[in-house]
Amino acid sequence: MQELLLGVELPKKLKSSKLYKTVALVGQPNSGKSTLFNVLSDIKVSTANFAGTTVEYKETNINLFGNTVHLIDLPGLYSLNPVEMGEFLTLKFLIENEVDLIINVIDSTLITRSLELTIELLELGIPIVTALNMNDEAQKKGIHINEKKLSEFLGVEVVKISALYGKGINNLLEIVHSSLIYGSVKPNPIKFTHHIDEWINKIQNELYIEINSNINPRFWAIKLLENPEIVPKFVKISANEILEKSKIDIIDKHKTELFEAFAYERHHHSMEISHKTTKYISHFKMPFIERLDLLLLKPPTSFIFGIFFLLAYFFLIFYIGGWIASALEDPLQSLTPIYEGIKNFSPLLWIITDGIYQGISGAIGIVLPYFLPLLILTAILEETGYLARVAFILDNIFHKIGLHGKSVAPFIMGFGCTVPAVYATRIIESRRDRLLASVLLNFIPCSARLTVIFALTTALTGPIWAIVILAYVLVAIGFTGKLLSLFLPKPLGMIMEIPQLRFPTFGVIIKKTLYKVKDFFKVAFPFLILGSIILSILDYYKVTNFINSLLQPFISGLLDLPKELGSTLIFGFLRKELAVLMTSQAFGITNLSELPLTITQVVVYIVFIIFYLPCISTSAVFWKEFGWRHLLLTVVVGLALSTFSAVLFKVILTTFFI
Amino acid sequence: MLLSEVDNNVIVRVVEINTNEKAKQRLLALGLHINDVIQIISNSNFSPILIKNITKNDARIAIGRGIAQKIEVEQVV
Repeated sequence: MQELLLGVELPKKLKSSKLYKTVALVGQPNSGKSTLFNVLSDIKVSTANFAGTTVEYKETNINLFGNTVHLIDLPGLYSLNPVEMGEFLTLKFLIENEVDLIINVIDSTLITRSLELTIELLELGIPIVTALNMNDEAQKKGIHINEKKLSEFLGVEVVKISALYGKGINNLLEIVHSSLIYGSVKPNPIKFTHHIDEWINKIQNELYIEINSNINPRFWAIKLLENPEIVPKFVKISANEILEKSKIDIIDKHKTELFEAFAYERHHHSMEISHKTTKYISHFKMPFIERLDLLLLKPPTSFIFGIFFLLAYFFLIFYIGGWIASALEDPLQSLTPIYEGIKNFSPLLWIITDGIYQGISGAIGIVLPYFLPLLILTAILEETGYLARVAFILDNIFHKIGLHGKSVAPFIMGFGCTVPAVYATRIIESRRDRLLASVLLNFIPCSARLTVIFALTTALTGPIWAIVILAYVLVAIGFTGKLLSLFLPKPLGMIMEIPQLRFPTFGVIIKKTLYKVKDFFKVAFPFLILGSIILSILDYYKVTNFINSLLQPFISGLLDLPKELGSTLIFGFLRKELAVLMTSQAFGITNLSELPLTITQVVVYIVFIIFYLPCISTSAVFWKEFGWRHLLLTVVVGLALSTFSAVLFKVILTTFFI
Repeated sequence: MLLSEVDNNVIVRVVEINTNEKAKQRLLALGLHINDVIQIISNSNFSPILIKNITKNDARIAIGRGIAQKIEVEQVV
């Protein structure tokens, strides 16, 4: 665990700003932090949303009654004993940065469990304001919380809000403002049972902390007992035997692991506090949403709905994607004559500008049309909470390939573009699952590869082959997963919260989509342009026939494909859909249906293209996210799988069909 | 009996959690503690086990079958 925390670096840019006060949103997942962040960031001075190293942070400066405050939305966490990558980052941020105030966002319908995190946050010693979010929903469920009493128990300000409907926000801002200006008192953490507390105080006196930090030394004393692995090096303890003695004594008295003893204490406090402050008035009859939810979760109806939604999901993506793509085709094509003039001026310059233009029109004309509806639909799935249901339904199937349900989201994203899908793997806890998921993710046909499949099959072999190929792809992914997971330790079983089903808020969906599109243009887009420039230069200097002859033994020998297709594989690495564009150019034809290839050759070619190499943008993101060794593994597995599948199809098709 | 053996809609109390430390930490963090009373919402071998923590009037938690086999529960009459 320790190296995990050390291995985690915060993005260089993300330091709490020296000039302004820093306020961090901290709370359990699905407590409405992002919704609150969006509401607060509407009164913004400037926004700087950027992708952190592992988990996306949202950070902005807001104008609070005249002075600027630096607001940060940290990844959700269940406790300060991190298990998931996001939790490590939030803890590391809180420890290493000057955070002036924490807004502890709580889902009021889950008050008891949320208080356990609040009690733990009190131990940090950073001033806290607790926001009881989703107050309307809690009232609908007959949950009435007395925030005055709660404030007395916790010793911090408590305010009821409904971020979704913007209720109580001004009240929250006033409290945040006053605590920042007049400096709110440091919270006094809740006492543990007597003998544990005694030990904590003894350890605390022996502590020597090298750097000054606003973290209450008591927090380190507790963590030295509860979870020593996360205690950083700058916390030293002079007399080690006290620590050992206390551990033995506590274990002896509680008969459980240390971390369980502490967890149980906080659980006991939160139960006690919530009993004294929360009344469950009317026992609500099962609202419609919960009965619907049961249909979505319990087999067999869950599978029927699951299949229906999945089909609707893909149909909408391809219907809307196809419509946008065709709508953009003519305007994009009409732009070509603009730079036609450069041709006679200097052919090389023309080639490069044409390359840049192809890159832009490729991204906007081919990738974006499918990517946009996919992002919107995925955001809707996330916002409603249905994605958690899909993970629940598919968990058994995913288990068979050595993963568990939670890697559903990245796999679904993979059908759009592998780059955002690789980022989406951040929600997977264990590094092992994340590595396996990312390798398999590579073989999910992205929108570019799907364009290759549909373009070639409709032009030459008929749609039936598209279905055969897609079926084979899913089976191949399953087998590769099974095979790879033999070499990896057993996967951590699924433990996942199923959040409430909620109506999606239009604003949050749009913001999420725009945020991801901006991310796509920042990462994948430059590589698409770079790819096309390299490609056009290669083309200009007639390097293509050199490549053809280089690959000839492999292409014609093993796969029985004409050698002209060799160079298209290089372009396919730059951008997958380019392989298709290049095939027509390789044979000097304009319409795909004139390609001199038999059905077998087309199918073998498509199967090889799908698996052989990750595209250049994916490779870059892989390198950045997992390191080059992992990228190499993916490439090797990809080449092996693609060659095997291509030869398999060639053998089967030549013997049985043509 | 084991959590994985409990039928739908049956209400049980958690007696013991014998999973590995990481899983145990995650369960504790999700608010599942010894002596909590939970209701089994769905237990079919086609998907993980779905429970609702009644003591906390909480959200539902999905638990993989492998882990559910390591959680000891007793029926609450």
